Amino acid sequence: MVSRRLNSPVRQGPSRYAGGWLCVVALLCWACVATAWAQHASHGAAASQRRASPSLAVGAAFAPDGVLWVVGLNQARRLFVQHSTDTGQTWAPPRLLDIGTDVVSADGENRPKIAFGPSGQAVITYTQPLSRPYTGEIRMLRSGDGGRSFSAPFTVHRDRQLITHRFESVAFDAQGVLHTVWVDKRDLEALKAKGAGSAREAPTPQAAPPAGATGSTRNRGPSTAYRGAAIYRNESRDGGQTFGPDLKVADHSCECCRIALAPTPAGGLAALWRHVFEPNERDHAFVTFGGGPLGRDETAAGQALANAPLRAPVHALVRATWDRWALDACPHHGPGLALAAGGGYHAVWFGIRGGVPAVRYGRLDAQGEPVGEVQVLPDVSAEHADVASAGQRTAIVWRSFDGEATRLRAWVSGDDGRSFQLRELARSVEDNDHPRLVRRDQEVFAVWRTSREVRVERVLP
Amino acid sequence: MLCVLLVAAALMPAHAAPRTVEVFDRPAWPALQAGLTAPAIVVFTATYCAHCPAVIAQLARDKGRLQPSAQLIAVVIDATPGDDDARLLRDPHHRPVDRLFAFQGQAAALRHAVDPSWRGITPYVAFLHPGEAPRWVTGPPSAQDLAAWARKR
Repeated sequence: MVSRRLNSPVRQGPSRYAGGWLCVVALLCWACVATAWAQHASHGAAASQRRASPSLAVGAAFAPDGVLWVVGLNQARRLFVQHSTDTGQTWAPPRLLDIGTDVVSADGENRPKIAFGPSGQAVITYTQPLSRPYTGEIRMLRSGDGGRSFSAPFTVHRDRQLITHRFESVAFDAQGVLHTVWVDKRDLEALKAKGAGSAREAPTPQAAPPAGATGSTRNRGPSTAYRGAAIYRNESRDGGQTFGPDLKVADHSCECCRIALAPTPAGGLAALWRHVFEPNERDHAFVTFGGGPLGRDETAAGQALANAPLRAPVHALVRATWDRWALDACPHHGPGLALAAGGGYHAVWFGIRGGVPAVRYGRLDAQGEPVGEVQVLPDVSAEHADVASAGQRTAIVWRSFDGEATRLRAWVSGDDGRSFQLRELARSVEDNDHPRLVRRDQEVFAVWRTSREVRVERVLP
Repeated sequence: MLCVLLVAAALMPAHAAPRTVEVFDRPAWPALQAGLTAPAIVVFTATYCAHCPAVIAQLARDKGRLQPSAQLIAVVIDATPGDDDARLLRDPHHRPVDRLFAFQGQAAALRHAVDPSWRGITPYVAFLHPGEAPRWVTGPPSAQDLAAWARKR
């Protein structure tokens, strides 16, 4: 009896349930058409308007013989070097570098770089993005003949995890030691792997703010989350042929801003980067390394480990700016740093202080502590400033978009930063890179690449 | 019958991950606003922005709860349509959005066209209602920002 009841709808014919099936089919058809239409509408508009973007970020440096070199990507996204013997008035043909299958990241904050050592060494570095978002590795090419030839690329750091190693900066110190400094997330990833997703940390020593800074400096105790990323570095004492271990400089850097390097009076290097100070303030941290007697890694008792590699000492991290900018966001806007003739350093940085976004200039003492008044650059649209010095002369360069074109502007001082004069250097309606300052003895030049050319403007003297 | 209806409901385009990267050039921003028929949220993001994925994911959850008919739109400011669309579309951080754009043209000029006061910080979030000026938030929007946007009809 039951089976007859189950079978009865079929035996009674399709008309009783035809309406329901028609509704379902109609619903399915409507869903598919609507989805296809939504995608097609956008696809049609996009396909007809695409054009490849230029990747304009360049690194620039003067070789010891006074020749200006630039490194960057050409229209085909190939890595090239080019040099000029007359400070940019004419250029030799670009030379493509063989980097195999490497992909080069080349945006203003994370551009290819070139540095020259004192004994014919030259290195080129870039970040190669990896398969996961926000990951990368730092690649280097080495030359022992002043740039006439370069090695195949190799990875600079020892850690090979699929994590962030990005935003490298590279420089030779006065002893000819090659320093590479970068943003690294191995510590954050290690905590995640432990399943913590957060970590207790030792309280960060809170330096007293200078007079005029607002807000509390009270140490609010250990954080329960790992803020930001870390700064790591390594050293090479043979021009990039071999490298020492990866050394942590600091926890809790910001994650996507360039690191500024400058020489120290002692022959080492100073580094300035955007940090994340407790509780969540994106100000700048300063540290020096190199230039002192070499030391070895020490035991807890302070005894040098006989077989530990020699490494340049790192001096304690100092908070260099007090904008007190609390924000969980990416400024993507790193600082600039230069040695000051009267002692200490010149620094430029972007931040929001008291609700006012601006690029600012300030002086740091020899330890990196801020001294004197912080000045806002005379351009509300200033961005990506750089600073360089030659004796008493100081130059700050930046770009700003005025609604129609981008202007290259400079602030120039002849009295070690006590007073400045504004100069207009160039203007372009083309797409363009962040400007950079490069020094040759007592001269300073601004290098600014647009989609049409590489402009070189004398700034000092 | 119930299973079929459930399948049909699952296919309905309440949300589909974007399949194309649309061009965000100078006319795009005024055109996008002019074409609004419902509230929307636009997140200006970047491939280097480690804070942006969490903001996008949270906005997707919140707008689904508060304004299901609203669109969530992401605009990538450091990529160009056609350069590496597959990578942008594969990025799980972009899956929650309804539409995905990328800058085409000078980034500084496009930022200026969107908001002359925007200094390139990401995420930069615009809460939109048809016919009204955007309300801007830098960084993660607060619950109050969401509520204020959702209250308007």
